[in-house]
Amino acid sequence: MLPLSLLRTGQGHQIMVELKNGETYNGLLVNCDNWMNINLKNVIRTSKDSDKFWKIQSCYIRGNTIKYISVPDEIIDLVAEEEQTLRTTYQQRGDSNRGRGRGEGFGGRGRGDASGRGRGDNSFRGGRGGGNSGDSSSASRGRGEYRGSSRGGRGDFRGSSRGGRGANNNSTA
Amino acid sequence: MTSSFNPKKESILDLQKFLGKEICVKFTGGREVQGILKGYDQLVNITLDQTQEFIRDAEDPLITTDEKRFLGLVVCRGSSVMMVCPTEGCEPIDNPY
Amino acid sequence: MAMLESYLKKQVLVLTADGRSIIGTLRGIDQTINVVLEKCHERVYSEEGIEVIPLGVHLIKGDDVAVIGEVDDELDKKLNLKEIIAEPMKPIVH
Repeated sequence: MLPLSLLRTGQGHQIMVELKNGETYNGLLVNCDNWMNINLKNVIRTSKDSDKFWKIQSCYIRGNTIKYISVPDEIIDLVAEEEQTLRTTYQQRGDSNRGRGRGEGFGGRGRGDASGRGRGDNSFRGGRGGGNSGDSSSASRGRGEYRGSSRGGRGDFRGSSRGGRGANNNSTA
Repeated sequence: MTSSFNPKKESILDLQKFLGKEICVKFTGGREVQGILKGYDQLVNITLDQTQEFIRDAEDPLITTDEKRFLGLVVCRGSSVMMVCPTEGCEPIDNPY
Repeated sequence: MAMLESYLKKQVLVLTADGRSIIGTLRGIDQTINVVLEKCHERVYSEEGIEVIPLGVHLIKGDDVAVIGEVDDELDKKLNLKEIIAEPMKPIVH
């Protein structure tokens, strides 16, 4: 389970955020983004030594100043449920399920692949691609897969980078 | 994805609704100002007018005092903006716990 | 990352940059080492033994994570936390 999926599922729930400066913010999580920037409403702000308190109607907090976030216990079950329903939906879709499943469920990891392990992956896949490229039908099947993953949210990064590589393979073949 | 999923480029901070209103901005490092929102961009750089800075306690910079310093028209750099909230509906209260 | 994934669903100890130690079940991680802990508690070291503070579900930002270690459950249960006396850890100073 990705930490950001947990936070996304926590939208609409009461959370507690502690910032790096020690202040805490208790409030309803309105929304959040990929950098963990968050919007809260009906907030109670507590000073570092928990001796002063403020009431704030709504506020925006930048993700990089957050130390940690405490969420209600039940959210973790909600995430698990969501992941399960996603999984069954994809299974029902048959063939396309593999590509899409990766695109959505492991979006974050996909990114990690591209940036962190990028090099190793490239050469590996490239090798595989080369093997395939003789056979035009398998190459086109490969394409179909990237499309699937590119529709799956963050997948477009992967999709495009793989697509590019695919094109290379084809031209060398 | 869920309907609440945010496209990457757009900030989740909707400053549009605060234009012309007084907002309070906290910065990394501890400074805190309030002023009238004149403009902003997608990086959360903010221009404020009639800005006042809250002077902090000399011994403990985490504590803001009632003392204020007038700054006038300022640009706040987005990368050091830590928290943004409207001044309206923001008030000190007694221990609620 | 691969190392950390092997800790998923296991009991782990997280030492944070501000010197806290938090123990819980590792439920999620991402590439910035943001960490999700379930059923976690903080152990506060002091002269009066270790105080345990239940925390529930916590999402700790990667910036704040200093150490993640797997906890030997059996061994951990044998500990008498009230009798372990240690000074609290100091925060990391940059």
